[in-house]
Amino acid sequence: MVRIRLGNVITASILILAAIFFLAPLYIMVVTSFKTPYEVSRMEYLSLPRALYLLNYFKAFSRMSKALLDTLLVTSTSTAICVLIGTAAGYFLASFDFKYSIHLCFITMLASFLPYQAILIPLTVIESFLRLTDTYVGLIFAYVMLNVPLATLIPMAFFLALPRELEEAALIDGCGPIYTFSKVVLPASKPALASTAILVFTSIWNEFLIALTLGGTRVKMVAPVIAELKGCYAALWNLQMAGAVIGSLPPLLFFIVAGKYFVRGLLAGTIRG
Amino acid sequence: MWKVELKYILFFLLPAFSLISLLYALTVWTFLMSFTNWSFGVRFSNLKLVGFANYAELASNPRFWVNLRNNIAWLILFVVPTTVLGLILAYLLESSPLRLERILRPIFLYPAALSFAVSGVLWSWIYDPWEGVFNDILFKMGFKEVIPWLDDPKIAIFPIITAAIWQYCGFATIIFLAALRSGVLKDAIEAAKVDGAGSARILIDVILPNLRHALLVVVSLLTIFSLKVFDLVWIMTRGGPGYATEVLAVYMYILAFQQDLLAPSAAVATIIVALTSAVLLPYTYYAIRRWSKRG
Repeated sequence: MVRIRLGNVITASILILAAIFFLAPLYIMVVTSFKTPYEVSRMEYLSLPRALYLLNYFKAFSRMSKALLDTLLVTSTSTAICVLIGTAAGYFLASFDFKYSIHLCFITMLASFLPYQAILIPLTVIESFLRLTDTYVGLIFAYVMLNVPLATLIPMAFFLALPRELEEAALIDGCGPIYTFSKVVLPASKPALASTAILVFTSIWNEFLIALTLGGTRVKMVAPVIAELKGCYAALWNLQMAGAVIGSLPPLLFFIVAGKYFVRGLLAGTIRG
Repeated sequence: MWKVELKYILFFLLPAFSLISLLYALTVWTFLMSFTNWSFGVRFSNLKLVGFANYAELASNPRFWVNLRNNIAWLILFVVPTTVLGLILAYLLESSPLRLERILRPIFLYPAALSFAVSGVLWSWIYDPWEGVFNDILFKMGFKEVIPWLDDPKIAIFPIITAAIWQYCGFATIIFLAALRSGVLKDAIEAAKVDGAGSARILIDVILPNLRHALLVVVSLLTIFSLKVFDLVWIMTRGGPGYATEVLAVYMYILAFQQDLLAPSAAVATIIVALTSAVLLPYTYYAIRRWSKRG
C-alpha cells in the first residue's frame, strides 16, 4: 500500500513539473503583456505586473483591429461553407451504398494532409489572373478548398458511429436521404458539427502561409500581422505579447469553453473514430 | 443504407469533391510546371520543357542540401522527443487520479490551439540572447555566458524545434492516452493480471504492442509536419543566420515569391510532396484499411 502511494506521489510530481514547463511560456506572455516598458526593462519576467497596464493592449489593438475583423470575416465564412459541404459529403460516404466510398475516403484523407506547398504556386497564379489576391473572396475560396477534406472526415467518422435505427425509421416513414439528412441526422449531430467547426475555425484563424501569400493590405490576416509585430515593435516585448494574446484569444476561448469538441475533432481527423 | 442516385451525388458529393479534385489538379500543375522554364512574366505560349534541368540545378546547389539536411534534423530532433515525451506523459496521466488528469490534460494540449505566429513571436523572445527569458534565467542561476541562441548558425535550429515540441507534445499525448484508455487494452491488462504477470511484463507484453497503431499515427503525422514546416522557421529566423536553419518549405517560398523563380520553386514543392507522400500514402492506406475492417 505504501509503495503504491509513493508511486502516485512521484507520478503526480513529475506531471506537475511538466505542467509548469508547459504553462510557463503562456504565463510569461500574459504577465508581460500587462507590464510597463520600465517593468519590462528590469527583466523580472517571472514576477507579476504591479498594475494592469492596458496601454499595451490599446496600442496593439489599434494596429491589429483591421486584421482581427478581416480574419473573423474570412474565417467564419470559410468555416460555415466548409461545414455545410463537408458534412453533406461526409454523410454520403458514411450512409450510402456506394461502391467507391472507400476510395473517395482515401482520396479525402490524403488531401487533408496535403502540404500547402503542393498547391501554393498555381493557386496564387490563378488568383492573381482572376484578380482575387488580397480579396475576401480569394482567401475564402482558398481556405474552403484546403479545409473541405477535414470538414468531410470529422463528420464522416461521427456518422459511421451513429446508430442506424434513426435513419431506418425515417426510411420506413418514406423519407428520402436529403430530408433525413437535414431534418433527422443533422439535428442529432450537433457535437460533430461543433467539433468540425471548431477545428476548421482554429486552423484557418491560425493559418500563416496562405495568409502571407494571398493576404496583403486590403485584406489583412491576423497570423502574419502578429508575426509583423516582431519587426514593428522590436524589443518592445510587452507590446508584442499583448498582440500575441489578442491574436490567440479566439482559438484559446474555443479551447477553454469547448475543449471536449476540440479533442474529439483532433482525434477524428486522424481517423480513429 | 441509401441507394445511390445521380441527384444525391450532385447534392451531397459534388461541392466537396469538386474542390478536392481541384486540390489534386493544382498539385499536378505544380508537378508539371517543375519541368518547364515557368516564371512570373513568362507567357504560356513561350513555355518550354526543360526536362529535369530545375532538379539538376537544385542538386548542384549547396543551399538545397542544407535545407534537406535541416528537414532531416527536424525528423530526428522533433519527431523522436515529441513522441517519447507524449508517450511518457500519456502513461503517467493514465496511471494518475482522474481529477489530476482532468486538470493537466488541457495544460499539455493548449499550445496546439495557438498559432505558430504566436508561438514564433513568443519563443523568439524567450530565446533572445540579450533580453530573452531563457538567458536571463541562466544568468540568475549563475551562468554568466551569453548564449546567442538564434544568432549562432550551429545551434539556431534547436530553439525552433523546442517551440515545435512544446506545441505538438500535447497532441501526441492525447492520441496515446486514447489508445491507453481503449477497452481492448483494459481487458488485456486485466487478463494478464489474472495470469499473474508483473507490471513490467504487462508494460512490455501487453501495453506496448497495443500502442502500435497510436505510435504509427503519431510518428506519421509528426513526420509529415516536419517535412512541410514553414511558419515557425519563417517567423523565428527567416531561415537564417545565412541559410543555416532554412528548410525546404522556406526555400520554396523565397524562390517563388521573392525571386519570381516559379519553376525551380515548383520543383522544391514537388520534392516536399514526394517526401511527404512516402509517409502519407502507406499511412492513409493503413488507416483506411483498419477503419474499414471495423466498420
